[in-house]
Amino acid sequence: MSRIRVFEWLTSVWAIIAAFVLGGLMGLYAPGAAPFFARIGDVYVTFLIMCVPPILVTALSTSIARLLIDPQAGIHLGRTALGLLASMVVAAGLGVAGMMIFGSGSNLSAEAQLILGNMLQAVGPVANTSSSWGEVLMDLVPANMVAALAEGNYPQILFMSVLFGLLLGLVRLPASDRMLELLELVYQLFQQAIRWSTYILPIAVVGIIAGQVAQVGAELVVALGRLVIAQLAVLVGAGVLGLIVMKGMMKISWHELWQAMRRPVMFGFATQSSMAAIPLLMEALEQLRLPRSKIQLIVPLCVLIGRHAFVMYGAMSLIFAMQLYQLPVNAAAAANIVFGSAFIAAATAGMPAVPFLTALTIVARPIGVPLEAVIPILLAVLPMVDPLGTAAAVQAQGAICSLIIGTRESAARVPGRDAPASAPTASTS
Amino acid sequence: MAVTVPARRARVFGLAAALMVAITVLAAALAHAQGTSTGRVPLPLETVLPDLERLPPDIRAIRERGYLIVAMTAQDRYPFYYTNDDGQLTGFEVDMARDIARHLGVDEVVFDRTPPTFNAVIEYVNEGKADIGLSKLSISLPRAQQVLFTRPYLILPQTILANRVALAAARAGSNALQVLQLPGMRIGVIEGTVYVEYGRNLFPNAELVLYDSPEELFNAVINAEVVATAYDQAMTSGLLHQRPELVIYLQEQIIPGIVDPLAIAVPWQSVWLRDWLNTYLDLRNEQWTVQQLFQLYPLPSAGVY
Repeated sequence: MSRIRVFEWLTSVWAIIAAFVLGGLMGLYAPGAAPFFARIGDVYVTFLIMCVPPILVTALSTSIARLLIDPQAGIHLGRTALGLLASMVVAAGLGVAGMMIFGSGSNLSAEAQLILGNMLQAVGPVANTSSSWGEVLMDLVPANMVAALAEGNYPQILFMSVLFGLLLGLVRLPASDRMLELLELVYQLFQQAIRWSTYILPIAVVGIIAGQVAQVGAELVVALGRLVIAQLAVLVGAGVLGLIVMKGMMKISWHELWQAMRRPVMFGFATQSSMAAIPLLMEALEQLRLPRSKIQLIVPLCVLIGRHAFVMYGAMSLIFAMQLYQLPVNAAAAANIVFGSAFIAAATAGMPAVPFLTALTIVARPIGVPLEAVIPILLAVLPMVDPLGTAAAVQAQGAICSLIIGTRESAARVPGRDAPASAPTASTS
Repeated sequence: MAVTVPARRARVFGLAAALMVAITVLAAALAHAQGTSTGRVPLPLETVLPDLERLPPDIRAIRERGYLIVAMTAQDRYPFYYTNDDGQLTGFEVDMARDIARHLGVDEVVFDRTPPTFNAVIEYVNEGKADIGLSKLSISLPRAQQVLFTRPYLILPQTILANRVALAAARAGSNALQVLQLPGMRIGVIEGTVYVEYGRNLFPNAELVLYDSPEELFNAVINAEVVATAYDQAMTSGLLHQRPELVIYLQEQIIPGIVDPLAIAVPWQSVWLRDWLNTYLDLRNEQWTVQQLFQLYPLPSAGVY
């Protein structure tokens, strides 16, 4: 009994908070030991990221194939695209508004400028990769499928998964169903691997946080206090907005909602990887009685493309740069920033912060904003805001999924949440 | 929908997971324990000096005089030769001159700071008023007709220092080398330096603006009177090293394919001294970057620009 309770406690909010505090203290008071523990955290996150491509490929391709085989399931792709775009524009708008309210980039003190300058010199120049809008779209088709997987090029993996799903659904051969079952199996195995790995999550969190705290240093917090506050305020706002939308869509109590969403949100908070939270988010939405076949299609798409945290970081970076260089933020520039950040976040699906922020130069260029010196500044504060950012993003993605899947399906609730009525495995056998 | 696992298999899985975690911790600890260290070994000093009568005339003259005369420009050039907070002349080239004197077998170095410009140092050496010119001297073909140059002891990259806002205002990206190809871009250079010629060749569409001193030039870039300036890395990086906050506003970019080799100048008669200096540099076998020199030679608190 007690062992079961220990295991339960390990996946609770309290274990994560305890690990955060422990990691924070270690980073502050034993920075020498921090790199060692940080490595353990890194290995854990690497393991999670390793599990993402198989989950992604199998979930997307099987759900697209099944949609084509069984048209009654209803295709939501148009609604998905619209919902994602709208939510990302809202996220970018929140970012712009937050920065305008806090004015984080303007009138930096001489001391703050000195700290930033020293930091910029220490990190060196950013790689000069000014591509254009067209190039981003053209890069979607991989020259080599294996290379795309090996490099973790998520936009290309996305393209391949959709193509594979379309082929599986359109070309009906005797072996097609077995292939679908096999993909489903791979999906479930990796989902289970991530579920089990949440037991060692607290240990990993100690390492992740210790490494980040030791890395950031108090100096930078002093220099960029207003930026961090603005970012945290916007992220909290976005997370709360997500919860409200989701509550309205599901028509359930706050308690019920949090019981379902707490695991993916906490997991995102702890690992700072919303992709690694995909399996847990799917589980949470199933728990909220959304149909599994749609969850499998829409959740991976939403998490991969709807990068709400990055959209906010992007919009805020651009406004921060304009304030820093005393450029006037007019309506045209703001509109450019809102839509541009949303597009870039979607186009760099699955990529980490560095290539995303570098790709933002595509937005910065036509409005004459220098971004090269701002990117390292934003990357330096990222560890401070990203736990909350990922949690807010996971919450927002849950909200978008519930919006897209809609109330009708959830209203026609099946009696038991594990009932196979809508489970794809049942329809094939 | 959680997958159910029989109790025994759960135990096996638990053990396997614990083992994997333990191995990871051990591997991380081992990887963390490894470290590297590098050190620079100074050129050993021979205690026994060759007899005077065995020496060629140019080296013998220095030994007989008892001190080495080194010509340097009147104006300091951090980190090569500059006055530190204790009021002493120091820097990379000052230390090198003292080391050369020691290996030649003389105890003293006289730094002659009469020449006002770099070209004046060349003329000074050409007239035999100094044994060597060691003053951040760039090798050039006109100069090599007047003096002998050793092989380079430092190869300085040449850089563009651009105002980030002015560069972005062109709405053509952040690669200064590309943006400055656009017509009408203003580029600042110092009059009478090789950079006037470089500017014309590299950026044929640009408008060159001439300045008299580094101070004026740098102020023009900071205030966006010009979009960018072309200079050597010791100067542009030196400015950013002295005023790190400027990195937010200025962007330094190395011009690929063009370098500035620095060498020691000796009078054209001093062929043996030149060969000896080449041997000295070969044995020193050092390759420095400007950034390493900044670390080695602390900035004077009064600044250098």
